[in-house]
Amino acid sequence: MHPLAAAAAIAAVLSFEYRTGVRVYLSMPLVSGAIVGIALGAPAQGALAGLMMQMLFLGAVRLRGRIEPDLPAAGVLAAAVYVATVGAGGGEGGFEGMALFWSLVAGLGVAWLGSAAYRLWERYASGPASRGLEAALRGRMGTASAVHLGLSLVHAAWGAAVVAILFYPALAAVRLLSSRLEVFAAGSIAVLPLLLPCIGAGSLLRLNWDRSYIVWFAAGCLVAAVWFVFGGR
Amino acid sequence: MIRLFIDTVWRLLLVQGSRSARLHDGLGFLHVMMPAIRRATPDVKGRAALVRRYAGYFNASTFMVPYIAGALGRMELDRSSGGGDPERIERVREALCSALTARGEYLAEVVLLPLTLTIGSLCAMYSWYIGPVAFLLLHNLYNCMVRTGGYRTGLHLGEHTGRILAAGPFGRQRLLGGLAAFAAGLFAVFAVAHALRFGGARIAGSGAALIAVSALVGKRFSALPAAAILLAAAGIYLAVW
Repeated sequence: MHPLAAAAAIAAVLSFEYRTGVRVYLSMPLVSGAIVGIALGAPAQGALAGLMMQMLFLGAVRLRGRIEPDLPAAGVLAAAVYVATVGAGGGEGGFEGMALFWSLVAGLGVAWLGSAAYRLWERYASGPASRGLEAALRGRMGTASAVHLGLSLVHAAWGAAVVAILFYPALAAVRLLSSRLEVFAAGSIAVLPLLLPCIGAGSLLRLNWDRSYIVWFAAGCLVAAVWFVFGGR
Repeated sequence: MIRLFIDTVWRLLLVQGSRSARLHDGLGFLHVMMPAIRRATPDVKGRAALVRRYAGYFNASTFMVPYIAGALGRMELDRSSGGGDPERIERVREALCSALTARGEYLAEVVLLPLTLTIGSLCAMYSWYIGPVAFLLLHNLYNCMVRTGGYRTGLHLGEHTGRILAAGPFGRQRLLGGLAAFAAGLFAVFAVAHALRFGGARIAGSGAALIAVSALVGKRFSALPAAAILLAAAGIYLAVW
């Protein structure tokens, strides 16, 4: 399947899964990256991009009232762009590191775009949802169901559309920035995948920064430290 | 009863599909309750009062809505056979909507998801395919139990469902929260050790500093700006050094 079609189809399914409440969590970047990688023929690269995107949001809690990043589309786009840039075999370390960095930047852009779009959408959806309830009050339960399911399908359409529209521009930008921005190539960007898990660990530390939970956190650190001291890998 | 169960459980999977600013999941919850409404009042003309009860604001947590739908379904079925009070159903609906949703969201989003994601991410650092599989298995084991078991429990116990919740999911919340924090502690040390093994002392030291910076930035900013700031910081640091 064409990479664009595959990525758009995956984004449609995962956005639907995340937004409707199915919540099997195939849409978490940790999983969606691997799915995209398998679909595009480079599972390890897709999984790496997904894992790194997940690290940026590992301790992010999804609670009502907060601006919520659009992770399904972001994870799919970042993984698809990264796989399309480095290919199945991977490339030279510095180039791979830069491609990963810029793919994640593209993913963050989509996450922000989705959060802004969903704020507007939820305001707009109040109208059709109210009309669905009015139809149910008039005894037209089938109409109310149709409105509900129709509104649910918008999530799939959003996921597919955002990836389909942004895939090629993001790919072109990532390729250009990864190969032309010499200042990045001079450093040690290839080890970016080693640093990003520490961002995730920091966000988990903040999440557990509570008198009772920090004791458990410290216990986890101690057990892991003992494991490494005694030769664990 | 099996038909009611199947017809409701698939609707529970889509309860948040029509979320809106004004009604939240009101239409979705009505869609979930439709099979119970139809069963409680086979006569189409008599359904208006029942529909009115569910045609409004509803705040649904995916973890708690099966219990609530089951409990209200049982109460509606009892009422149709002459054993329930409509005003009491209304009060129970409002109480469950506000009290259980907040606790359910906390359990799902603050406790269970970080726990399973941390374990999945830890596994993924060593093997790209074990991580996602471990996360999906762990998370959905509990998810499926709550989704199908919750509706069955609610349908069985009616308005007394809260007692089971206190002993079951909410009773285990403290332990699960502790386990999530423990797994997070493991993850932090593994992340630094991973950086030390493959990147050397400088990268490991930078990783340890990044953990502290990430915790501080996360306290001050919401998820998206914090992610952008930290990614930019890591990228610039590696580029210039």
